[in-house]
Amino acid sequence: MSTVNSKVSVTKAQTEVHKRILQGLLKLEDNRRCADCQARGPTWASVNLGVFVCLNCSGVHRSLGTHMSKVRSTTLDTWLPEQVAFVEIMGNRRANMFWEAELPHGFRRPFEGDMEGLKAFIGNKYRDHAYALRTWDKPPTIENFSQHPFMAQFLEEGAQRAVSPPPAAGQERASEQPAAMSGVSSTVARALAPPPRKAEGVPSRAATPPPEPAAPLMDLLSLDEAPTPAAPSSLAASAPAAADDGGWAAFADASVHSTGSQQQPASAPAAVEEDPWDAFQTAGSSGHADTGHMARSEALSTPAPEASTSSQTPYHAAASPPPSSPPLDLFYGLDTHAPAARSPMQSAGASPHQQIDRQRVGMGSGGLTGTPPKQLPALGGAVDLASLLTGPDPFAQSGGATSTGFANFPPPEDVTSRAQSAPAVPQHLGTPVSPPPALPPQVQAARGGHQHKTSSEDILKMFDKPQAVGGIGPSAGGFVPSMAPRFGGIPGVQGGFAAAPPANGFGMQGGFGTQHPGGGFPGTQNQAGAHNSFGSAPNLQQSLF
Amino acid sequence: MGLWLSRLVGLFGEKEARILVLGLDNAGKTTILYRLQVGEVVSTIPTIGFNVETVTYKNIKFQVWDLGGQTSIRPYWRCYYPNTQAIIYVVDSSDTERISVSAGEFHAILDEDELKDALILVYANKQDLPGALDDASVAEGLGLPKIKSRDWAIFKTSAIKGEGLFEGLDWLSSMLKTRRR
Repeated sequence: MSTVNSKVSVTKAQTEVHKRILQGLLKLEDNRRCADCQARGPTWASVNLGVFVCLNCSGVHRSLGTHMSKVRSTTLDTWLPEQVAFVEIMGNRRANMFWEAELPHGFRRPFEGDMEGLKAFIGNKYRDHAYALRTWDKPPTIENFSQHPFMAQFLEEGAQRAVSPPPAAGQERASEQPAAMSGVSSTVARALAPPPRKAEGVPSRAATPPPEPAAPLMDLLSLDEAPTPAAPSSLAASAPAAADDGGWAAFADASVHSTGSQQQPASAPAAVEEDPWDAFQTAGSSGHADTGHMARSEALSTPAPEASTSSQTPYHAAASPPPSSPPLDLFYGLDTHAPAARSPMQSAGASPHQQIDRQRVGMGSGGLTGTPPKQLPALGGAVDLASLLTGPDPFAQSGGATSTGFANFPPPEDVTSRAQSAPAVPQHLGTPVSPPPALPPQVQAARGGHQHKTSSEDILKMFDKPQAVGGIGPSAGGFVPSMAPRFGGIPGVQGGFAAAPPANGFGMQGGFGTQHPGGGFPGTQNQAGAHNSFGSAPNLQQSLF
Repeated sequence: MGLWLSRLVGLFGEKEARILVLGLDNAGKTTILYRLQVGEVVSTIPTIGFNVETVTYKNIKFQVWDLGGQTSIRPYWRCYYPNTQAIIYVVDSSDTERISVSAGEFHAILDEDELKDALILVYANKQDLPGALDDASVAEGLGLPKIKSRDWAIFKTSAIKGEGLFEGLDWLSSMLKTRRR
């Protein structure tokens, strides 16, 4: 129960700031390659180990379990302040100084796509500590880093600004104000000062600069490369230097433009930052910072008062009368006869129905069992076609559909737009079946004034930035043509087979190997089935039109 | 041709049900989907988007949609809500820190009007991992016992070991059959 992910406590503005910090961190030399397979441009991270990894390796990390590694996307997930602070101070180079300290000379690490190799390697590395420094029993993690001896050097280093490549973008932010921090990097100091977990209840925390206008913020960030804690006057000088670190160009730019008033923008945010910090400390000491915890544990421990009164078994409630959809509202109920055949809890062991018909579990090998016509499910038969065209089940008719969409949410009704929208997150934006959900900020930004046809491309552009998914994406076939070039750039896109059958624009995959690079997509027949079903589906659609 | 074929299958074939598999990132949704579909443990990577497969079980053809669980793509789940007969909500029982986050998402789903008739099947997944909460604790964490107005069930599962998944489908299929009668 360490870092409570009370995501609600992270505001949108904070999330934006976190994203910016993370993107800055990903541009640092230390983090430009996956900590495990060295693929370029990682966009995922293990927040408790403090490393950035590529999509494939993130999959392996996830398979270790969250007690070993907690994986988050740098672009798609909400991070907690302390998580950002920790990757900021750790990062790939330092982490590997620990985790790969004993890597044998000439060790050949598995290459990016070698999932089996990566599984073994990553398991050895983090679970078995096979290559780790043996100096300490416990590895440095987000739980203990502020006390871990391994981290001491970096914390100190950060504090003294002695070593030039700073671990983190945010570190210099407050060093703009030497007086305030007395030479101690603010982030580090902050990361150190509070017990990490205390930060969670506090919205404003370490590594989180106040949501300032872009230019001043960037000013500060651009100082990242500055070798000294620096009087404000060094700002102009250091900015251009920062520019050769590709990604920082924009930041440098920003600072150049604001040179005239550099001192102000530079120091003002730093000063502002102190306030939340003070507040933070106050909150921490007064116990408010723990609110999140308390709320949470309360939630967890709250007994369910009514549970025993009505349910036969607390694990199974069946409120609505079986025959049909009852007049439902959330509070309808208390009709608590339990019609279910049996308690699932009981059945968990050996159920009479346990003869799982494995053969049937699979590509829809339907048995003809004389279903009375009136019981035809909505998806069946001719209805399929209708639903294909108008309903939210674009795949409904394709028996044994196998498909993978990529961030791709079917805009069910509009076949045309489907054809055009890329398998990208917001694909449905053009034609949502239901009121479109609020777009993520970057999506909104991306969309600008554009509508349906351009939106997905624009969005893809946004995703393009951080990386070109190391070698995964672009090569596989089957792209929606116009999307192809960008597709590879989507972080976390599952392979290049976001690919859609051109006719419906849907991302389907058969298994171009990326999702399951180890052995292709589950089962070869499966792949075949996928292709088949999709080969025909679009045609069917078209012929209907 | 294909049309007639599918019509025939529709007439005499199985019932169909549209199922959404939802849950936080790394809950095990994709692993469950493929465990159900091909009966194997596949190595997965984070799903940015969705996977959809058809799983036929007990004469019901489940069209199973596995949607990505990362924070910023959860809002898109709702695009899949219409015409959904059941939700399989997957919880990483070993990720105790995020049970409350998961509960938040879960209740948001329950509140959705389009899902008011949907069956709720909860998988307390990753029972094979150390420190995993049992089904009772997960139920408690999600606030399940308080839910009276819905048909729900929770099962302890381990997608890796293949335990509990089909028991859940048993419950689903029996409930679906009851409802359709």
